[in-house]
Amino acid sequence: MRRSLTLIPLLVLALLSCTPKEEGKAEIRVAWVSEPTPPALAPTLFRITLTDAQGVPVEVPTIALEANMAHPGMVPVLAEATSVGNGQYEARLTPTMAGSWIMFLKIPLPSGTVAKEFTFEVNR
Amino acid sequence: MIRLLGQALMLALACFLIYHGITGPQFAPKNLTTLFTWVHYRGLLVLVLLFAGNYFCSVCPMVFTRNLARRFISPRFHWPARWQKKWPAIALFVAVLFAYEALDLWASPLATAMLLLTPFALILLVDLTFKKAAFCKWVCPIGQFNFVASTLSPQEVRVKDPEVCQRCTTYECLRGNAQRTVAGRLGCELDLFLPQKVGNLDCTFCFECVAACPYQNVALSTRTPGAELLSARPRAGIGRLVRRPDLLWLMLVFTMGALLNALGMVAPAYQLQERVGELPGLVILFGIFLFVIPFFILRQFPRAIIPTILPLGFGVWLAHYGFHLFTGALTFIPIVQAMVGVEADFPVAWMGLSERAVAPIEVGFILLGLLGSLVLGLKSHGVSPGKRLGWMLLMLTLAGLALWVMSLPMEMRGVVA
Repeated sequence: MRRSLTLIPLLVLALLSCTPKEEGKAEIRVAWVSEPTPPALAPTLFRITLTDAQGVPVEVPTIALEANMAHPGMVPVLAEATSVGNGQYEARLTPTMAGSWIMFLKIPLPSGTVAKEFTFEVNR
Repeated sequence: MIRLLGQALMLALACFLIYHGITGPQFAPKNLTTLFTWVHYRGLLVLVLLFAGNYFCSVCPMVFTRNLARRFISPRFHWPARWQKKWPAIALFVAVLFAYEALDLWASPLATAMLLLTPFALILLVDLTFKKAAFCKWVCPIGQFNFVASTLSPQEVRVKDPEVCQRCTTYECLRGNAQRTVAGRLGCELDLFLPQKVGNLDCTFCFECVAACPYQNVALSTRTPGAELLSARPRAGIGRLVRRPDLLWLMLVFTMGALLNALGMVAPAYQLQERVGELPGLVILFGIFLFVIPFFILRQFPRAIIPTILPLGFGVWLAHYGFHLFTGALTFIPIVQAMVGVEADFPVAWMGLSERAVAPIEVGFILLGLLGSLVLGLKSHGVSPGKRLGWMLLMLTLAGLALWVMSLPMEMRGVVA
């Protein structure tokens, strides 16, 4: 029984070690600005620009945004950035607290969804 | 056997968290290592201590690993008598609190994984050198947190009938019972002789004594939480609390550490760091909270009343860790969904309670802790009326400070991967 107990950690580790879902491989460059700058504890407009490796604007209908506090376990703020043309996208969201944030982007390209992220600091 | 199973499962979880911390996404909100360690583990730990007892020590995966290693390497030495103080554990406890703030451990899955590995390395180093549970009793900072907090737990391992112990001449609870094969063979590895054991200090809920006693005279019992803090009796394996300045320091560091850990998440701490520099700011805060104030308290108040600060300290830990657990209880589900390739979006509203809903719970924990400290402070023996009044004012001031910190909007600034 004791010997079999020692196998439990290995079995659980094997079960839990799932391979993350394959994301798209296309190289996308992300640039962004916000109003106000830096983002504050108020409705904030994020203008995001997507270009490919050659600097050509990338056009998709929308980008899914998920803003997370750097601290784990905080409820994220979700938004959808819509295209305003020429590879530019806009979304308005309200950070829920001051501090360090990470914005996760899901960009639905024809070749597959590409995940990107950038960080920003929210002022008091 | 149940304990062994629990330890094995906790070891499996620890292995997975270390693995995910190293190989998984290096964004704290997207990594189960940072999430489970800093939100779920800490929150569940304090709630289990509040509503039951020291069951997290009971299922400690480090002890499981040590027991496996001791099948191959037997320790040769006894922990030296002159080292039998809590100072190394206090230093490690402070070091973990400091590293948490200075290195932004909460924001780094890799650093969190390394932190999880550290006690495994330490227990092997200490307990393969020294006999019994030297690591648990004298070194482990998590264990000291649990020991101190479990003085407020409603459960305790103790003798059923003291007269049965008076007739006992073999002391299996301490020496172990050679007749037992699994549990009970070792006896108490923390030198708690059950007839003289008072409360939960230094008790890891290993139930070795329960299994070892040939008279079935040791059992898990319910009791009044915190009442043990008033006991002036000499305690098995500990002695009198008033003659253990290391333990009193531990209790003060536990309480002031609760305030400091919460203060580290709000604007005043960041404003100080912006003004004087990040590291100097932290050194100032840690110096004030974990050295100057405990030193002042020990100098100004009788030792008998010091342990009664613990309910307030535990209330602050409960408020802080409870906040994270209640507001982010199900935030792990989208991470698991992403790991297994499930596309469905998990509703944000279901991830946890709102801050507004949790606020009364936070305030309740602090006020409950304050009430406990005030009642115990009033009942403590050998304290002059003037000192008692001063103590009450100190408790009210610390509770006011805790409520002020909790009322401030949270602000976590740190290195983001």
